[in-house]
Amino acid sequence: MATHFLKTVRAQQPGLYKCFIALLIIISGVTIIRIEAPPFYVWSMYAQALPTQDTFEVYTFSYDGKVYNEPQWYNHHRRIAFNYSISFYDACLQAGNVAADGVKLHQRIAPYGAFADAYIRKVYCTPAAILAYPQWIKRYMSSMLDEEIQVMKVYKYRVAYTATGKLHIISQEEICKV
Amino acid sequence: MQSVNTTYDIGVRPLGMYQALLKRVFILLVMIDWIWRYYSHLWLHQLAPAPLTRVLYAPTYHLYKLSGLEDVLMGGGAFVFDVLFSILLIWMFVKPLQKWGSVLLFLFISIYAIAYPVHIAFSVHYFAPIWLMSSMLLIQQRQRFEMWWEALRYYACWVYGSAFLWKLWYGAIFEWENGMQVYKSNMAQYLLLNEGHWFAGVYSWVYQHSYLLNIGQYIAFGIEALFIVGFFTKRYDRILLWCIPILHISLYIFVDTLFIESFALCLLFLPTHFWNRISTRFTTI
Repeated sequence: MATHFLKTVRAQQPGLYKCFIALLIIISGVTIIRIEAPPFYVWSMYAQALPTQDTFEVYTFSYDGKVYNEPQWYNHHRRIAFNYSISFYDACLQAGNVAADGVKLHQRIAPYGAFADAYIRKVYCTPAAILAYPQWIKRYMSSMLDEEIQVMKVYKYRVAYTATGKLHIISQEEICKV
Repeated sequence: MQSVNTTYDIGVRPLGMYQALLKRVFILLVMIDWIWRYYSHLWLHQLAPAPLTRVLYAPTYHLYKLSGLEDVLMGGGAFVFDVLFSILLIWMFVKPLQKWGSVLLFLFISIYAIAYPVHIAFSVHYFAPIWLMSSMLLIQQRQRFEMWWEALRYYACWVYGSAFLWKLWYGAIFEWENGMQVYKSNMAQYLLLNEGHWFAGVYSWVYQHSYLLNIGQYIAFGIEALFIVGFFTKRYDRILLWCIPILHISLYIFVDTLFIESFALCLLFLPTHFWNRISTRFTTI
């Protein structure tokens, strides 16, 4: 029983007990405020119902006439650098070539003038970093696939499911090309 | 309270005598993951210079930027970091109770756990179980180690139990069709790129029987909810231990997300008599 465990720790290891209480307070605080502060994670993925949507976005990495596709389970982690970074890159483009994760904080601390600007510039990725992303992903994928990529294109597809569960492509947009 | 000839443990498990074994097994799992991450091109020198970074409001991510550590790693230090990390893993596997090595290993794991999500531009949770469990490396004293191990087990119950409670709080549990939406959102890339594959045909069949996906969602919720029992008793730890791989394999098949590092949490649900048997078999550990 968790409470009995804490009582045991308190009786036998008071210093450790204080440490546990401090951790419980931090974990509770992070949970209540709902701001992820690794290593104090909030395990609320998919806790909110996804909005019912008919169309979905898919990013693909095309290079020299081929499409990157390593669907096996043991290649799962080879897919994550592209899949997560391209989604954020697209979000930054849509935010007007600024760090999409820093927009709200920048608005909040804007009254602090030069300090706010300096902090945002130091902590969040800059327009130059966003601009450098296409070259980086090309070099990264080139290195991972052990192939000299001449031309790479990232496409954003908008797709919908048919009645049989297959996909129908509604639109295709070139996000970046190097 | 000690475990004495019970089929399940009660109270703080007397695992202090197996501290070296537990730490070695954990470090072995980290080594396997580290090798897999090399294959997956996720070592810091493979990601460098990774200019696009995402930190949102995470204090440790902000600190990573403010301290200049990013400049050091992405400016050429990443290769040294990766090599040192690799050497440290091997060294600590050989000498798992070495004090300063333990602190260093925890530090390296922490830096990696912060740096790589920043540089793939999403606060992914894949490495989180390893980072959290690596805190045990800082504890040397026997009784404190036993208590820390128990605390990690309670935290593992919190990981899944709180995930269930969040779904109650935010309402996903009340949306019958949510399983289908999650599937459609996450499997789209696989289905777009593998239309002709035989397994795409399996997905097609499942899609046409969408109630299976929605039922599956509730089974997953139920598995998460089971971990709440872990706060009250260790009687069902054997079931909880198997719930972890079952849940994550299912998530991989239907949500295309593989939290393979979470399998390390299974160690926390293994009973004392298991470690007795392992230790007897490997008497030098």
